[in-house]
Amino acid sequence: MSIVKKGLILFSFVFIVLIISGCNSENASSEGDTIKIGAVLPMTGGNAVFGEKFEQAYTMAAEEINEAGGVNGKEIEIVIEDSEGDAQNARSATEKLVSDDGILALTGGRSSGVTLVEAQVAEENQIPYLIDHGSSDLATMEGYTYVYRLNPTAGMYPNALLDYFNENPPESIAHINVDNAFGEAVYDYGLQGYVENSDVEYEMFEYTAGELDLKPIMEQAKGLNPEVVLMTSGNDNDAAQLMMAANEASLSPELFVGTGAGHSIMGFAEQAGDLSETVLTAGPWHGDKNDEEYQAFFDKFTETYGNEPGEHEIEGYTAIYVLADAFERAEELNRESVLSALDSTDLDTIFGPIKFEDFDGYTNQNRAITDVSQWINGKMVTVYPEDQAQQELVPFQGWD
Amino acid sequence: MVQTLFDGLMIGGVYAIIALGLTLIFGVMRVINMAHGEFVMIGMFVSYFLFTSIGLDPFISIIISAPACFLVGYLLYRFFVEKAKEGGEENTLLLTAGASIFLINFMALPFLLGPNFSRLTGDNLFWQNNVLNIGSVSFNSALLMGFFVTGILICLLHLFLTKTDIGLAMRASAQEPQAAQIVGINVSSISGLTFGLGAAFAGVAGSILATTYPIYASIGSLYLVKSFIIVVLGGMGSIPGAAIGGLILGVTESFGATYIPGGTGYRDVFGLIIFLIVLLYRPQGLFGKGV
Repeated sequence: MSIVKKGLILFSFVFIVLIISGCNSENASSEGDTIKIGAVLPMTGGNAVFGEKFEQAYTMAAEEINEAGGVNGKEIEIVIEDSEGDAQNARSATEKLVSDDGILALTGGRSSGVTLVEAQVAEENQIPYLIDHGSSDLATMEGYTYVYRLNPTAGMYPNALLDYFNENPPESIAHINVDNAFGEAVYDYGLQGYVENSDVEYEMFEYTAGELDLKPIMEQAKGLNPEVVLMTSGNDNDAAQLMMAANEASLSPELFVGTGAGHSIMGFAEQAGDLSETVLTAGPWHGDKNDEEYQAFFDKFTETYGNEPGEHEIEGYTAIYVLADAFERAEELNRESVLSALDSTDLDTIFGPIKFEDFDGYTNQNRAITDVSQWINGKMVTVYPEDQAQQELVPFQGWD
Repeated sequence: MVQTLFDGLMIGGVYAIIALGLTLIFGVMRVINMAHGEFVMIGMFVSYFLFTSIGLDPFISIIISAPACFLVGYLLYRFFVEKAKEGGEENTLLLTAGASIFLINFMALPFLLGPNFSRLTGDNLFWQNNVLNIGSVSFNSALLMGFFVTGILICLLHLFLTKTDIGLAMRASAQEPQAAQIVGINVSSISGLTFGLGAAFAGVAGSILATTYPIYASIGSLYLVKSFIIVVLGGMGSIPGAAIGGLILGVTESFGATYIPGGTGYRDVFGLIIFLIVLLYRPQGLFGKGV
C-alpha cells in the first residue's frame, strides 16, 4: 500500500471519529428511560469515607425520586467515578463522565482540589456541574457559566461564627490551620476581614495535612494563651489528632472551634472520644432539626445506613433533588436546557432555600446558611444562631 | 524547653526501634529493605485486629504482632529475597520495593484494613487520651510506655547478639559471611532469622504506634524515610547508632517544629538536613559500621 493510500485511510478514520464525537457533543441528551447524573468521588484512598457518605445520600435521594415516579417518567441514575481524592485522577474521572452522552449534569467532587478540576473540565465540555460540598471559593469566582454551588464556600463557613464573635468578641484567637487550598480559603475569604477589622489578637499556626505529631504546634499556640483555639482540618483524622495534641499540651482555651469539614463529622467524635466534648464546629447549616421533612430524612437515613447523617449527607441528598428539579423544568432533556433550568432554580430543601445568584464576586452561588454546632455527649447540636439553637453554647470544661 | 526535649525523646524511641530492625537487616545481609515500613503497618494491623475483636491491649498484643511480622519477614526472605540476592543489591532493592507495593495493596483489601483510616478507640483502651503529668512535663502515656519497651528490647537484643550462639552467628555472618560458612554457620538460615527479627522489631513499633496514631495501609512509608535517615545517621548496620540516631532525630524534629516559626510543616526537612550533613562530613555515620 502506498504512503498516499495509507495517509488517506488515516485521514478518513480521523475525520469520521471527529464527526461522530462532534455530533455527540452537540446532541448530548437523555433518550432512554433514565436520566444520568455523574459524580466524581473519593471511593478509595484516605478520603473514601466521604465518598461513601455521598454515595449513600445520592442513592437515597434517587430511590425516593424514582419511587415517586421519577422525572417526567424517567428514572434517575447516579454514575460514580473514583478520584481517590486526588486532583490528577479527578481530571480523567470527570472526562470519562463527560464522554457519556446520557449524563446531563455532574455533581460531587468532595475536596476543594478535586472540585476545582471537575469545575474546569465541566466548563471546557459545557456540562452543568452542581457542587455540593467542595468549598474552595475559586470554583464560583472564576466566572464559570456551567458551575453552580449549593453549599457555602470555605470563606462562608465561618459566617455564623463571626456573627457570634461580633456579639461576644474574643480577646485572642490561635488558628491552627491546615496548609492547603481549604485552609487558605478559610482565612483569605472568611477570617481575614474580621481579623483586620477587629481588636482581636490573632495568630495562625500552620500544619501539614496527615501530620501525626501535632503536639509542637499546640505548644506554640499555648504560648499565646488564647481565648479561642480555631482549628481547620480537611478530615476527621486530622481533627482528632489536633484534639489529642491539645490534650497532651494541656492547652485550655475557653472555646475550641473547628471550621467545619473534619470537625463536623461523626468520625471525629468516634476517634477523639471524650476529647470531642464541647468542641464547636462552624460550617454548613445542619438543617432545621424541628422540621418534619428534615426529621423524616434523618430517621430514614439512620435506619437505612445505620449512621446519622451530617452535613455531607444533607448536601448530597439535596444536590440530587436540585438537579431533579432542574431536569423537570428543562424544556428538553439536554445539557443546555438543564443549564437554563438551573439558572431559575428557587427551591426549598432540607438544606434551606436554594437559589443561584451572583454576589460579592461569586457567580451561580447559593447564599447557603451556616451555623455553629457543638459536640455534646457524642452528638452534634446546633448552638448558634439563637433562632436555630437546640441548646446554649457550653464553654470548654478543661481536660479533667 | 524540657517539655520539647521529652516529647522528642518519646517519639525518637519509637523511631529507634523501627530503625533497629532496618539496620540489623542491612548489617547482616547488606539488604536495603524497602518493605520495612510495611512491617510497622502489619504490627499496627495485628494490634488493631486483636483489640477490636477480643479487646487485647496493644502492648500485650506485641507477643502476637512480633512473631507475626517475624514469620512474614522470614518467609519473604527465604522465598524471595534470598533468590534475588544472587543477582546483586539492585535486585533485592527492587524486590523489597515490589513487596512493599504488594503488602500495601493487600492490606488495603476490604476484609483487612480497607481503604479508609482506622484507629483504636473505646473506653476499654487504657491508653486512649491518657496523659501523665510529671512536674511541669506532660507525657503521652502510651509513648512513655513504648519508650520503656524500646529500652528493654534494645538491652535484650544486645544480650542476644553478644551472649547467644545464634546472636554470635549473626554477628559472624555480618562481619565475614564466607568465614562464617567455613566454620559451619548456616549463613542462609541465619540471614532468614535476621530478616525476620528485623521485621519483628518493626512489628513491635507498629503495636506501640497503634495506641496513638491512625492506621492505614500506606502509613509505613512515613516511617521508612525516617528509618533510613536514622540508619545513615547512626551508621549503617550499627545497633547503638540506630538507638541514638532515633533519639537524635526525634529531638531535632521536636525542637524544629516547636521553636522555628512554621516549623511543624517542615519537621521532615530537619531530619533531611541532618541526613545531608552526615553524608557530607561523616558518611560512615556517627557510630561507624558493624553489628
